[in-house]
Order: sequence, then structure tokens, then C-alpha cells
Amino acid sequence: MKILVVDDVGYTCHFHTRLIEKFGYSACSATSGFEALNYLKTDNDISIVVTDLMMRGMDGVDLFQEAQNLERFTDEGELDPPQFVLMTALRMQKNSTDKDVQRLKLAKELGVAKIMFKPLDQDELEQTLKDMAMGAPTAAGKSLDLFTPTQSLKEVVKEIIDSGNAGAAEQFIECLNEEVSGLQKFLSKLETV
Amino acid sequence: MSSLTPSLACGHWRLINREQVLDMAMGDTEFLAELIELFFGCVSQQMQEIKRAIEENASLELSEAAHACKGTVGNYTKLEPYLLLQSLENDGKSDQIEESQGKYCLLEKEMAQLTLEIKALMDQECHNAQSSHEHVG
Repeated sequence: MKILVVDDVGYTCHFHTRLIEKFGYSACSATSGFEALNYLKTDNDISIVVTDLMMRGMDGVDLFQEAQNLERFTDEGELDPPQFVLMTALRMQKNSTDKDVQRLKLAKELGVAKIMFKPLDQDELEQTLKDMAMGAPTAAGKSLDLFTPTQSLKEVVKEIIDSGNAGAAEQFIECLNEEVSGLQKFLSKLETV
Repeated sequence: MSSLTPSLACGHWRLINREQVLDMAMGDTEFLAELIELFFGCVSQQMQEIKRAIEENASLELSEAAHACKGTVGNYTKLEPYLLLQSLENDGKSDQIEESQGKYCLLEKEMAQLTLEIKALMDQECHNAQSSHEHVG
């Protein structure tokens, strides 16, 4: 699994690439959306893209859309599109033009997995990549999107805690326990095989 | 003393937050040195691009160059140099660059201060790393 960092600001591109390497991942970098697309076409190991939103030529949203339409094949079949983390220094209330805000809104509507604001919180980035990497393609089989459901699960838990509803918390734990037991059965079956 | 005269009183940082910069490099002095070297290389080129764009009255180029430089500088400070770059970027975007030359002159002075602080921080960190190495040895 490899992570592609895309940013047309050379310093930021290099910094984020090295940071991700320090987290323990293999990373490569591109300084434009076009260069990033070429990487995606030729390197099937790339399963996560961390890209800036505002870039000259092809911006982060364009790149996301192009990546969804890209056909990538391995011997095992077609690869899923890479997961995206979109970075932006945009602050809605300050210097943002209408166009910038529209691009950010569009990114959300299109389903970009994660939007992060610069300067990036390194712990949050590390956790996000860790969560995303759980669903990245492996030699064992096809990729699964574990990031999106994991995020939803975290949101539900937060909602229950915020609501102070003890009954809902107990009910939800029961439900989770059932699912955990299903996964444990699956794993022990694999071990016996 | 004018706040625009590059200066560094002992232990006083006007523009950078020492802890934040060290956090950025995950407390790794070698990584910090690598980032700072890259910073100086990028910023001098980006400043040249801003200057050229202003001289040539090229609004789009000004907004792009200031945006890029802001991205680099923003890793070290969100104070004067960053705010001036943001303002220059907005000048370019709105195609109103009459005051940009004046802002650029202020920016040069602020960048001199930022450079001074970053170099001092790096010297200090190298010294600390060396001392702790000697201590362990």
C-alpha cells in the first residue's frame, strides 16, 4: 500500500510526504493534479491520496473526480478508486471567495472521505491514514471501504454519549457485541482452516 | 527599536511559536533541519516570483505566488508575514495591486525577522541535541 501526496506548493508537498513516511507508510509525491493522475495510472499500489484543494490547473476536486473514473486493473481484477483526504487552508468566513467555498462544498457532496484543514493536526492525519489503511487492498484480496463505516460508527457513539441516553448506549453495546462475536467466529474459523 | 528591525532578544520569539515548530518536526532535530533547509530554498524563490508579479502588474501570478508562499510560511507563523501574504493574494485575486508594492516592502522586512528566528531556533536545537548527545556519551 502506498500513499500519494499532491500539492503544488513544493515545501508543503515535501513536508507532508516525509511526515507520512515517518508514520511508517510508503509515500510518493506529485506537484500537480495531472502528475498525480499519471502516478495513479501507473502505480496500482497507491490506495490513498492526500491532496491539496486549491491547485493551479487541476484542483483537488477535479483530481478526485478523475480518479473515480480511472480504470485500474491487477491480475485479480479491477481496483477500487483510491480513498481521498482533501487538505485546505480555506477559512470560510475570512478570505475565501465564493468559488473556493463552492469547491469545498462540492467535495463534500461528491463524497470525499475526509476533509482536513491546514495546518494539519498530525495526530488526526495519522489516525485517518490508519483507519483508511485498514480497508486498503492487500495481497489477500479485494479492498473494502472500512473508513466510511468506521467514521459513521464513531459519529453514532458520539451522538449517544452527547444525548446522555443510557438506554440507547446499552442497546448499542449489545448490538456491537453481537457483531464483534460474528467477527471473532469468522477469525477462529480461519485459524482452524 | 522598531518592530520591523530584525531582532531577537534572548529567548523571545516574535513570529514563531517554538513549541509548534518543534511539534511540526515531531521533535526530530534532523527532520527539522531538513524542513528548514527546504523552507529557505522555497521561500527565496517564491519571494522572487511575488516581486516579479508586482513589477509586471500580473494579478493572477501575484495571487498564485502569494498563495504558494503563504502555504510555506504558514507552517512557521500565522502572524505578520502570513497576513501580508494573505493580503497580497487577495490583491491579486481582486486585481487591485496598487498597494502591493508597499506591502511587499513590509513583507521583506518581516521575512528577514522570520529567517532570523528560524535560524536561531535551529542553532538552539542543534546545540541542545549536541549537548544531550555528549551527556549520554
